Amino acid sequence: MILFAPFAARSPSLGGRPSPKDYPKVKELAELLENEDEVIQVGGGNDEQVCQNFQPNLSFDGLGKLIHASRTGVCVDSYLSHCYWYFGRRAIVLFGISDPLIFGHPENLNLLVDRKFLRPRQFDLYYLDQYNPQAFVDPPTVMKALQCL
Amino acid sequence: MIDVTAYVSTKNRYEVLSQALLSIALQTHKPKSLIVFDDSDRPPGDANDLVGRYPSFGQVFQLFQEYGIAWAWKFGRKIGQHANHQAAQEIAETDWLWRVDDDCIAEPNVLEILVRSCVSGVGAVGGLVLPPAPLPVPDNAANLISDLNLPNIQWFKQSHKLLEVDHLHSTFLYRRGIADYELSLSPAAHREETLFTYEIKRKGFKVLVDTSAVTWHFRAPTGGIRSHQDPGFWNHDENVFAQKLLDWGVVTPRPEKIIVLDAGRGDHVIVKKLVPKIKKRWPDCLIASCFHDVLKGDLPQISIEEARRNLGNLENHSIYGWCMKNNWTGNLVEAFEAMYDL
Repeated sequence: MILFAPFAARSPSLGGRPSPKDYPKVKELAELLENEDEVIQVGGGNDEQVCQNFQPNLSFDGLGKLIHASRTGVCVDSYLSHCYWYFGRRAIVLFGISDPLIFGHPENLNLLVDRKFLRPRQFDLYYLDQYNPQAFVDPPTVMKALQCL
Repeated sequence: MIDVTAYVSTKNRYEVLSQALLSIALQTHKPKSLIVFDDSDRPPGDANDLVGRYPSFGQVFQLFQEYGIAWAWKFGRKIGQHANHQAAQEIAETDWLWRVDDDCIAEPNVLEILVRSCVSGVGAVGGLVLPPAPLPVPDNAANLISDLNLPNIQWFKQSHKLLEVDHLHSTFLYRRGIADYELSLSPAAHREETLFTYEIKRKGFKVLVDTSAVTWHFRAPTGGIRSHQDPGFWNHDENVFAQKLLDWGVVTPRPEKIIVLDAGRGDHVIVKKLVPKIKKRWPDCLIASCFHDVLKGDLPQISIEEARRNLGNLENHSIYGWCMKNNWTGNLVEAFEAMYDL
């Protein structure tokens, strides 16, 4: 089973816009993952459901149980990536504009297209940034990483 | 038979208010009357208007009629709930008043339990005011005015006890006319119940918590005091509160270390991993966090407001602000370690 969290936390300041940390080709990746394994999407209650099995708003303990039961997690730079690190399990983390050297954990598999897409001021509010779908690896790259894990 | 006036001060919370009123109507010890003080931005023109907008109120009003509970709906002055509480004292015709928060649901026996304490020398009695999935009570919680940094004892599930305390929170029964509400507070009315109930205590009356009386507090995300987000209000009220404590000669010990985690869930997870190091470096550390479930049981928790009262402006406690200020280029875990001097 794979946990999937393709969206970052919904800040009210986004006003309905996608978060710059959201994965762009989310449905394509969700389909590939579901062809590969059982997938449980986790995240906030306002996230778009892209997998058949969506379990939003899990408690910390509830999420921990799923993490232990999972093969791995595939997520953007978000809560789930830190949880995998906390529980000593390895996740595949899809970085775009935030720097994995700062916000990532070396214990995870951090995927980044190019450091040129990183935002210059890493500690400013990320949701003020423009959305750039090019900043993320494509779904086939994620699947290759999954095979290598 | 103790006659009680129940009342609710409300603002922009009609969806949850009807549940609070229903729980009042279904008490085994019926209040003699009920007053709603409505501070809402778009209050109903009359009861029919309200029922038209929110039909569940129709059933609640029918129950009040069935049980012979006289009810009145009054428009508040919109200057804060403390003004409504004071107004309740002025217009109620009973010696005892039961204030109920608009996002609370009282178990049916709450008032029956609380009135058992309505004896000579008692000024106020509250029960537990529990969030869903309440935690066990921490050893150090006692609701003493000198220990305001500690968690409120009314927030935690516990076995049956009748405790004498210094102050109460949220929803409680009190004797009318002993003390006045502090009307110099802002519309946020932060600390109003602590000031009020400690004033009752200072007048020589006992203030009690009966832990067998359980009210559920669902903390509506909007409305009520959460309509007043202006930090200036909170700072004003903290200053009023601090001055009162000074006037009363109350000394509250300043904790050695308070970690303020006004940040995202992921940041909470990082700090959770650092808890062993934090405990080693700061054995008496308290934490004020946004997502209590992540750090539950790890460190004694206080509210963000409590942290603000101790520390003042909290901007210097933001990890991201700290990183910017220090031109941080390392890992976030290391940044937390450096910021907390671990």
